[in-house]
Amino acid sequence: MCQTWADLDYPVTVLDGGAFESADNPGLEQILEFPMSQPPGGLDESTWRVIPAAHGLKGLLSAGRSLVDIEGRLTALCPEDGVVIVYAQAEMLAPLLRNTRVQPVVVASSEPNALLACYLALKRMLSVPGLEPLLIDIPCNNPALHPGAAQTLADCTQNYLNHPLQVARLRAAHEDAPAAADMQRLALRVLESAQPLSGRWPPMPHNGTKIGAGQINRSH
Amino acid sequence: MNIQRFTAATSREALSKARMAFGDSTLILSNRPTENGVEVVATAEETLAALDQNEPQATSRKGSPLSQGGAPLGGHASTKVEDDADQLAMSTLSFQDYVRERMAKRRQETGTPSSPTRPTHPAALDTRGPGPIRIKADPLPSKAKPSAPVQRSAPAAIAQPAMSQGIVDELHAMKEMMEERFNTLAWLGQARQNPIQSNLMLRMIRAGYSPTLSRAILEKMPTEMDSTESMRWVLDVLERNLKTDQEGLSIPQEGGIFALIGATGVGKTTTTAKLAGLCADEYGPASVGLITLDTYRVGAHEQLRAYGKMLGVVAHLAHDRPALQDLLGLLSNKKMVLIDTAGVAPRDPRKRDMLDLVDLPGVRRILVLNAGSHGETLDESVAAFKTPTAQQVIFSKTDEAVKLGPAIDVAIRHQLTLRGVTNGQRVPEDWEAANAANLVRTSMRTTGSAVYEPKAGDLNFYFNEPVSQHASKGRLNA
Repeated sequence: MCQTWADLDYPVTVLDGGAFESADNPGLEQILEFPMSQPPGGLDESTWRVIPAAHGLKGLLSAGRSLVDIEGRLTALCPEDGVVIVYAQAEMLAPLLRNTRVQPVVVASSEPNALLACYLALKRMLSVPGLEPLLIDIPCNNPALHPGAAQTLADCTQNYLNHPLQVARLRAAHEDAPAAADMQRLALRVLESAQPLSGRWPPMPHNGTKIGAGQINRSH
Repeated sequence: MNIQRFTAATSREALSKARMAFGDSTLILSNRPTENGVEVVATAEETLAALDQNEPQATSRKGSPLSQGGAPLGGHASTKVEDDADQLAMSTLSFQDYVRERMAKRRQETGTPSSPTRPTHPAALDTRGPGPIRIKADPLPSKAKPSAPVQRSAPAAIAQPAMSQGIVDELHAMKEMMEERFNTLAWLGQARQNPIQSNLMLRMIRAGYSPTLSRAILEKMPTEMDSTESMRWVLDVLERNLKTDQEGLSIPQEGGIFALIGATGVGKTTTTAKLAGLCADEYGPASVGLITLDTYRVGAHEQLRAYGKMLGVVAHLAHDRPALQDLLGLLSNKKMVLIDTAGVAPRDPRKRDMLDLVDLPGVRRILVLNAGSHGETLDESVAAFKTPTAQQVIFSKTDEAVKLGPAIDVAIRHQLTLRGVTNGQRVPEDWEAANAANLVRTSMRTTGSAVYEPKAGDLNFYFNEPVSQHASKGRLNA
């Protein structure tokens, strides 16, 4: 998805919740502690990069803050029309996404042991009010694996959590539509539900009233 | 012997002339139509009587050869007749035979017992049998039918060779052409008699309005107005008939799903971006969704994506109908969703596929027309992209159009609803709400190149349309 966004001319910055910041490898923690005019490594509009963010995200959780509270800091991470991706475990990410319109993406794994982890992630997401996760069904070529994992998860969510789940299916390359087209559609769909970084949060799903937006929002 | 020809416009006049020449004893020998009317050959009864007397005398004078036991009596008489015929320019006897033969021939051809060339004076008809037509002395009845119809029926009654269908068609075409030419000339003549109307006609055609619409409007113009009032009247009629959304909601205010369709290069993508910008500016970027179906043009998605980035709106790409439906479901919470389609020529066979792609419930089509295009090009576009419901249209590139008349003309004749006009490349600034008054007045103020401006004397050529073309006047409230 990052490569697709880059191909669509969106500079991408990934906050990797699985990578730890250090003095040699500064990341989100340093950004939060020391406001920077530019992210580590400088701004580069032509590539997508990964910034370690494990300590920084944990610090936010500990402080009871959300990504909304650090939106201004996040704006400095990417160019004007760039995209910031937060990649982390569901138990860390879900609380950080409250009060946003972001639609978190959960990939349905066909590994038997991963089904339970996926279900748990979905459950944690759905426990946050207003958060609507998107389940990605990727093609399964290994006959040993469970091919209908996404459907199974969707059924479980519907039956046990009483919540219908949105599922996006990526077709394999040998099917009618090329895989790149599906990925592009998915990338744009995720972008559609992204939270604009404008310094002022726009309202939640539109209710038809005029708000006088003023300055046009620029990045996501 | 006195045999004369009388020609006149009608048979009645010719017969009158014959009676004036020969009196009551006029004997009609023949009566036939000519190029200029009717020709009557007549003589007096005394002439025939004298001929009858001369015939036996001629026979007796030549009796010596007979008594000499030469040729039989009849043959000698005919020789005498032939001799007479040789001497005279027209032998009466041979002429009598000629007339009798003609009468008999005509009866055979028509299959009627009476000759069709008989004058229509029933009381005067001699029905005694074959012979020269005799007219009695009674004056002609005052209410006698004119013989012209009878004379005309003579050639019609005579069997004409069957015309080929091609000739018949040619005749019909000529007839229609002549009728149209005469109607046009009559109208032009009337227009010339009214210089105000003629001047307005010239101005409208110079502004780019079609002769059809111009004439339809000016035919209904009251004649008692002066030039200023007439001009104002024409402007009012044009404004009244140009439908806009001026009194309703604009496109962003109305909301919904709109698909912009049209020919290639008319500015659909830029117009889509402008509408998205207007909606984003008024309701926020989250209120608008952008979808492009244009997978043909190189850079189409990139262009819309670039505009979208400026506005903070994501531009999606749909390759097929299921993808489009999926995206419309995703964007269902938006106030306005704009679908940019691939431009296709009106005659492109792929046009049908493109139109079917956006034929979904809730999707309304807006036709984008290049305001600078020729009137016939616009007409073809409107016809090609016609929808069963009321058609909405946007005029693009009005800043580049030399004349707005053709575009306004098409909108009026096809009863299109104008939703807005674009006048530049800037997104979203170069957009104007549709204002009929401004557009009409601007159209009448435009001055084109002198090379293409018609003169008053050229107006004739604007009305010389081929017979086969039937211009659609549309509905007009004048």
